[in-house]
Amino acid sequence: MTCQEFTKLIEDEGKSVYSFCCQLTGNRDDADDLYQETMLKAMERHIRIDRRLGSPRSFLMGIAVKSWKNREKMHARRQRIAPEERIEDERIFGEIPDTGRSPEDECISRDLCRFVRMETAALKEKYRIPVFLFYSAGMTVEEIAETLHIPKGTVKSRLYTARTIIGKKLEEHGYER
Amino acid sequence: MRDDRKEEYTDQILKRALVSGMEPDEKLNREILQKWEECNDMRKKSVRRVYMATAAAACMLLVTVTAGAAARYLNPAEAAEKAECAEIAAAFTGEDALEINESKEGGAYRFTLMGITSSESLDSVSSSAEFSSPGETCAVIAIERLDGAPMPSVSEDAYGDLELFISPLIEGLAPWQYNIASMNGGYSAFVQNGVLYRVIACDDISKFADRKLWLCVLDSTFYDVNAYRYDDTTGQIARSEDYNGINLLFDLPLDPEKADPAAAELYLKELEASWKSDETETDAGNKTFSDDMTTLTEGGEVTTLTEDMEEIQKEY
Repeated sequence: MTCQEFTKLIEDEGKSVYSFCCQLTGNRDDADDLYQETMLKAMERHIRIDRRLGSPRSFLMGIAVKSWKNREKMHARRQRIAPEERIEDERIFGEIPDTGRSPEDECISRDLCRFVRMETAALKEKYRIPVFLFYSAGMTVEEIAETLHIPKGTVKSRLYTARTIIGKKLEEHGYER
Repeated sequence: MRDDRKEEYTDQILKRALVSGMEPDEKLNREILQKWEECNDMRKKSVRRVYMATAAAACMLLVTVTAGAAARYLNPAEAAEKAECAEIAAAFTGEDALEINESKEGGAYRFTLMGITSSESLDSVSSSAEFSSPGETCAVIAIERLDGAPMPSVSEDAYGDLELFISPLIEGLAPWQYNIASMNGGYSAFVQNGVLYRVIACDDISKFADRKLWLCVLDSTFYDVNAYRYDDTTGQIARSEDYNGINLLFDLPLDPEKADPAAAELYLKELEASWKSDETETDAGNKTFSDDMTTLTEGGEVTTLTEDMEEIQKEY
């Protein structure tokens, strides 16, 4: 892999990988670390085998998921010793698109988005990760299947389940349109 | 609200809520690139060193190459070197390297399995905390057109016309489940003198050398269950005669003395655990779905919607 190819990989996939890292970690500092670890691991592996099977994005996301899980295991160990509260960094989310609605509606919309993020973060891992890959990283069902080594049908069903769970939470809290 | 409208609404809200406009900082990307350059410089130095140190061994191995093959093809070490896989090139000059040079024809192509090597010194992609047995198995395959026309280079659009899935297969292990894709594999490809070379690598399979081992070559991006027959009582894998396409099967004559049943069993446990780690939940005690790998049946995908609905019902 040449320097240009690696630069292009960062240009093409960096934003998606970073978005995903932001969602997984919930804060920018950890996202920076996870992103760097992911890209460097990808680099190490690509030096020897530069054409991984499947798409580069799935390859990168697969590394990100595994690295994050390793970090979570270490974090869990630390938590047992000295518990600390997870603080969600609002900066990791972009500006919610302006829909041209009234300030009051925009405020409700922002609340709604915050609520959905909170509920998504509370989903079980097997639903949360496909949701982040689909909605934050903009991956297709096929790419997610490749990333997580699961059939496409399972990805679809997990996304469906996640949407159903979030939909019910929205209803319960009166956010139904 | 109707169910489909509800799902659509939730979908829209998720799209709005979870989009992150954040981009990696320029400085962060520069740091990564700088580290890449530092490692690349070190790699270039080590490639030269390895090449020189093993030149004598490489010369001795060349003697065993048939004259015809030597004239037409690069040898496996040269192919790996050309593919910028320096460690694999070095492994092909070691005593564990096997030169095979067996050709089979499929479709409009001739496929030559040039050689295979397994080495614990190769830093496997899977050599992380999850796996206790390091090393990789690597093979070099040369592909050329039967009509003598040159193979398109990897940068040409026509390169994508021939999709190939080349993977080791292991007796007793379902080929759709245990193949190069699941065993942390990958490949490099390049074209020289009209011949396409593929250097493939995956987790070390020499530990399974007391079983029959094959290398499959099929014209598909992923493993195709229609291309081969798997007898789950005998563990044998054979070509499906009625498969409409390329479905070659080479024998891999790995030294049975390299077999290590205990390491093989441990590897399978660790590999399966790594698949499950994507599936299992950290919140123990809740009902979780069956291992998704078991849903990779010969019939293709199996959705778990029914189970998911049970899960939803349990939540509420």
